[in-house]
Amino acid sequence: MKEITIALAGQANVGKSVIFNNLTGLHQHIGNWPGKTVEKAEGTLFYKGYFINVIDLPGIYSLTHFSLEELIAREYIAEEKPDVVVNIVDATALERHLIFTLQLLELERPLVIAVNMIDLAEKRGIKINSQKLEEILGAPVVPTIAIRGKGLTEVLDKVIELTEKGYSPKRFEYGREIEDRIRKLEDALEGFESPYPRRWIAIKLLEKDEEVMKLVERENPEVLELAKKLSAEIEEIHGHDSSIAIANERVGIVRQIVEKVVEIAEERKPSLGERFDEIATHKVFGYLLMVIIFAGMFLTVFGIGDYIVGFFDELTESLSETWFAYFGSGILSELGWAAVESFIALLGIVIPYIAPLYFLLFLLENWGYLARVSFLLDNVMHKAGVHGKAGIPMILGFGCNVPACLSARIMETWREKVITILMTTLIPCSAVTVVVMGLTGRYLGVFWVTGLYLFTLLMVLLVGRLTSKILPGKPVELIMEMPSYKTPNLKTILIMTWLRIRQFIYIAMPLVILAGVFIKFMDLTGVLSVVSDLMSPITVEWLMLPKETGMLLIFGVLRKELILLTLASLLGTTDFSAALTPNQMVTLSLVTIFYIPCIATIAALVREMGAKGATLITVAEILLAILIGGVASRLLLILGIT
Amino acid sequence: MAHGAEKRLADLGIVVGSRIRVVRKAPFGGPIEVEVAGSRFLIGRRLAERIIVEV
Ligand SMILES: Nc1nc2c(ncn2[C@@H]2O[C@H](COP(=O)(O)OP(=O)(O)O)[C@@H](O)[C@H]2O)c(=O)[nH]1
Ligand SMILES: [Mg+2]
Repeated sequence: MKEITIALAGQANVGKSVIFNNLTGLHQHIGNWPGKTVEKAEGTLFYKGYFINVIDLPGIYSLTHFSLEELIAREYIAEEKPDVVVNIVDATALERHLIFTLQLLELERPLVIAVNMIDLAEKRGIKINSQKLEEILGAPVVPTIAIRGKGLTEVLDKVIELTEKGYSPKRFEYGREIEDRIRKLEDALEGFESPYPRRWIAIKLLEKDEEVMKLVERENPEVLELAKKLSAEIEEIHGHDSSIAIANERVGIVRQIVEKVVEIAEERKPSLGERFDEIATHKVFGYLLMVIIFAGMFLTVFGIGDYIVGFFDELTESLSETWFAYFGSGILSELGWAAVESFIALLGIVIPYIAPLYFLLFLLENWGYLARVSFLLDNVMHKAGVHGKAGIPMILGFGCNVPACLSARIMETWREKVITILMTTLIPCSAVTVVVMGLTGRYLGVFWVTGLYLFTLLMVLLVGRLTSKILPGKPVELIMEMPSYKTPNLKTILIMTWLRIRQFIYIAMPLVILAGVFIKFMDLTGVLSVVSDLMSPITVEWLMLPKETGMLLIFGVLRKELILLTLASLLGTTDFSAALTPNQMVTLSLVTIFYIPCIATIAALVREMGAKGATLITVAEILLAILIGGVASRLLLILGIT
Repeated sequence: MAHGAEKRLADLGIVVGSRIRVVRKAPFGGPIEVEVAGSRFLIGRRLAERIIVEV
């Protein structure tokens, strides 16, 4: 059987995920790009006697070096040389998408263009002459409606046709001043070994692309010098930075194309979505709606989740009886049970909480609502040195830190992602809220809880601001698409949720089981209380908490609510005021909020930032918790709260 | 204007001479929503202020 590899490339929100999932269904593998923490989705299908590999390239805005996603996409196209690149463009915004198409053409791989969302375009009175577009671009153009699966087989037909018949990419010329200089650089690059086309390198050099400049400097420093001289000449002529001059010309070329192929009917009345946006972005109702949507989401998930958790509790209990009746109560049996229990506990948070939250997040994203959240939160997030998109993971964090950290991938650059994840892991999740309510809330009142939460939010913003000062690089300004509202595609969302949850379980399982067994082992051998005692300079002397606190905090790593449960079982009662003073309750609440992401969140961190990043964040947060806890308890003393 | 940002805008089709319509401004100094060639974008306020608009 013949095998072909195709890569899907397109900007965010064009329907790339719908097409990818429609083509490959559950035959997918989700992983990370080698050495990077950007998600890589690969899938396969059979079609007309071909075995087709489909690579979903990360969603991109342009092929200019601005984010990791873009770098990955162009490296993949140039180095792995997929047989065909399928470029998905949005029929309702052809101009913007074709700018990207031109850049893809410059990479000189066989290209098929899918003009998606033809249905929406029609509704808006936009008509596209795809035949003409095909002639102009010199590459097959297929109109598609991804959500109805329309046009997708035609795309595959064109792909096969290209691989059988061959393809010669069309080249678009820039204006004389620029074109001449591209040629000069091309000549100077004669003999330069690289997977990238020579013309592409020449253009990128004039665009001052950092990666390409580094590439060329290593082998041909004199070409780089020439490029700098030529760029300066372009700047002289155009009065702009040369990268802007080139981008401007691309826009010019695209506008000419659009004029020839697009027909727009006259004025249309505002769509339902546009009218809804008046509310969704309103300075009062917008925030109100946002609170209602997310609060509704959390309440539903946790309401239903409680039932499911009840089921898991019963399952654990009955299984444990059977287990110990069968294996006895030796140390091995205890450890074996700890492994089983940890696994069930993991499923006990994934199934009722993480999966539904993830699903709802995808739903809101697909619908287009998340962009409205960025709109509303950009201002607050700026205070923390990031832009509005970071608000989304943070809101999710109140439900569960795991989907929250996993969603931080929407941030464009490594820097923004690190800051966002750091802030997100400090957001008190529902399990932490249980602890805070059970201690501070129950004995000191809701007023104190509110105070603690306000303080926490302040700290989160402060941490964001500090890290954004410390980390290298400049803050990225918010530039994002405000997509129109769309009908979400349920099948795509279900497949995406399921595959990502499955992958998360694979990553988290070893970590969670290992931690569970290890802590059980320490407990059984009495090492745990020794460790807890060893921690007493911190827990007892600095934090002024009871000496069992070490034990609580260690169990809390598994799941934060275990802090309360362990405390109750140590005390033999749930009246915590017998063991803790008000001062200690507040201090313990604060430490619980800050001290460490739970083991499942650490697993999510490993997926998003690698083991090193996860360790770094964990250690930093332990130190932060110790600092805050100690200072707070002394301040409270001064305020007369003992 | 920072070249990086200007370049990103250009890649979205927002260049000197583009016809931009301001759709709305976010409350409390948040971003500005603009419409260019049928697409809508959010642009951070500080960046937006540096885009000179002639009516
Ligand atoms: N009406 C319509 N909606 C579409 C079409 N293709 C995708 N969508 C919707 O557009 C939104 C974004 O699609 P998605 O695949 O997530 O975009 P991605 O960011 O490129 O992966 C989703 O709500 C889809 O259901 C289409 O051809 N017509
Ligand atoms: Mg997608």
